[in-house]
Amino acid sequence: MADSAPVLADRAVPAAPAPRPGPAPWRRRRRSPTRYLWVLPGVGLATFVVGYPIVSNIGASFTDQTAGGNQFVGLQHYRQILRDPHLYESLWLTVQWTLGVTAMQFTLGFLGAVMADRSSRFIRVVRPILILPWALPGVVAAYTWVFLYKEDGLFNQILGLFGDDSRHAWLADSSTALLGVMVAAAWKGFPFYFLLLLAGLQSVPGETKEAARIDGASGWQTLIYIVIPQMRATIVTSLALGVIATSNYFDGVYLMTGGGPSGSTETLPVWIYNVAFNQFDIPKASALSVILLVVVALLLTVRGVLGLITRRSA
Amino acid sequence: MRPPLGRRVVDKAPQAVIAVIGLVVLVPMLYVVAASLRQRNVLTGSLTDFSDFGFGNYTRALQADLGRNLLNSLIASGLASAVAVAAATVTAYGFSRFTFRGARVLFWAMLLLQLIPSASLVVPLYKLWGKLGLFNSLGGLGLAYAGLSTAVCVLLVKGFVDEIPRDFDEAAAIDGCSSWGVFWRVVMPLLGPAMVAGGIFVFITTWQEFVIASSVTNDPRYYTVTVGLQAFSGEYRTDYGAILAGSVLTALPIVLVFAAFQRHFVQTVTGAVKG
Repeated sequence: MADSAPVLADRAVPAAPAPRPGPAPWRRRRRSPTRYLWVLPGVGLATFVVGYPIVSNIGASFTDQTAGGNQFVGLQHYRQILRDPHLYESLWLTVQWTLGVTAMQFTLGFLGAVMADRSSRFIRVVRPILILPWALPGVVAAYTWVFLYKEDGLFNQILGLFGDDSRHAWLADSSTALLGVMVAAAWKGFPFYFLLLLAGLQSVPGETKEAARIDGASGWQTLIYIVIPQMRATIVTSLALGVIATSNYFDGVYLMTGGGPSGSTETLPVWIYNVAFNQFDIPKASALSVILLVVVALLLTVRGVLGLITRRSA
Repeated sequence: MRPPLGRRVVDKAPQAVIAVIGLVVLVPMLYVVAASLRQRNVLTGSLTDFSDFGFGNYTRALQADLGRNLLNSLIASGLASAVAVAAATVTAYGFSRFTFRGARVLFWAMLLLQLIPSASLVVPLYKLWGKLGLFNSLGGLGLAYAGLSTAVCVLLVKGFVDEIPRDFDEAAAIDGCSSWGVFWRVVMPLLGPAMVAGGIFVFITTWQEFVIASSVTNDPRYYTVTVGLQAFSGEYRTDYGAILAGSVLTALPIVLVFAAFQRHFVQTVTGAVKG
């Protein structure tokens, strides 16, 4: 009976509670054992497709399945990987990639969101266009940019207009390939920040901005001192999700360069795929998958710490 | 009297910035569409020259397997949308209306699974699907996609279920509805918009998917359109026109769905992140 009438109790006069014979039928039903069944379809599906394979893979990474049967080999795969200098190259590449792409996407998305946070017919028409790259399949975005970067593609044609006729093959050169893929990924992914930051901007009450303006703040000052502090939660959440998504981004990188030339774009996800499906070393790929999970878990921890800091200072 | 020039420039600055970003977004797409229509000089034709336009590249792309690939994607993504939305709606109702020990933990654990990178999942899923005989099957791929998208759908639909007053449930229960009857006859009919939004979200995201599809199929008969396009571009390496036509064909259905339901999609994404 303890939780049977909490909502009404706040408002009703406490003196005369109506006598009740027992929990009403619908209350009783809410506590029936079948309530677990309701959440089973979704939870079961997610567990079957994602949860179970991930957990069983952690176990499998300690065994050797190539030597017929499952032989426990302990940390052998991990020891081999940790001795492989390519791991550190790939991790460092993933860090550069993530920071670079996130910086580009966030800048573009934030700029766009601040500029689009007003009502004009022009902006209402253009806004959906800005989100379009995000709806494009990664394969299509990748091939779009592969052709833009070709020796006689649009990029070099534009450079030609400015007198640069070098006809550089951007993706075939290991010194420019990473930057090339980063720009393409920024183009494809910036609408994520644009959308979330725009929603964040629009949730700041108009009165707050109005008040700042009446007190004599310029548009710029209002943005820096009034609006951005109120959007802190949106900014932290979007950056956290964006960093996780970017560090794990596979399609664009793999389809544009396959990780090459000479490994110059082989971030951790691309390396895993190459090990599994081009070198057919499934045990090594299993262990690498676990390492990528650890990287994501670390990123989530950082997000948790950041969340605590912003909550405390807010 | 018109305001001074400086004032006018400042007023127009946002529009100008948006216009520049819009051009950066659109020019590559228009360039690809134009190139896909060119019979000659695919990459180098001038943007204002339409003399060699035609559909030759498109017929070549469709004569290869791309037509079948489109159909496969339609089946896998359609199946995933239906299964994910059905499972998610029941589950969202459960999480919204019933309390039990560990419900919160279970709910958040399910969402946490969503953050697991595809690249970490590819190898284990490839092994499991092989063991279960789901390799090279559109049903298997649809099931994988459904499992990957359920959590976001649950989150989305739960937001809508929470908005429906519990009085509705209780009134129906007093009138003698069973638990399932309350859900089926009272709550679910009110969830139409949420289920449509969820279905569109799943359809758009799974249509784009590449890495899972490419690892659980290796028979061209079961390739989705993204995997098919990759195989096609490997085979016809120098036929730029056909590859670009194939890219446009891959993107077109999803861009149309997106254009039609843009508002739904945007709400789903911003809602899911804020929730």
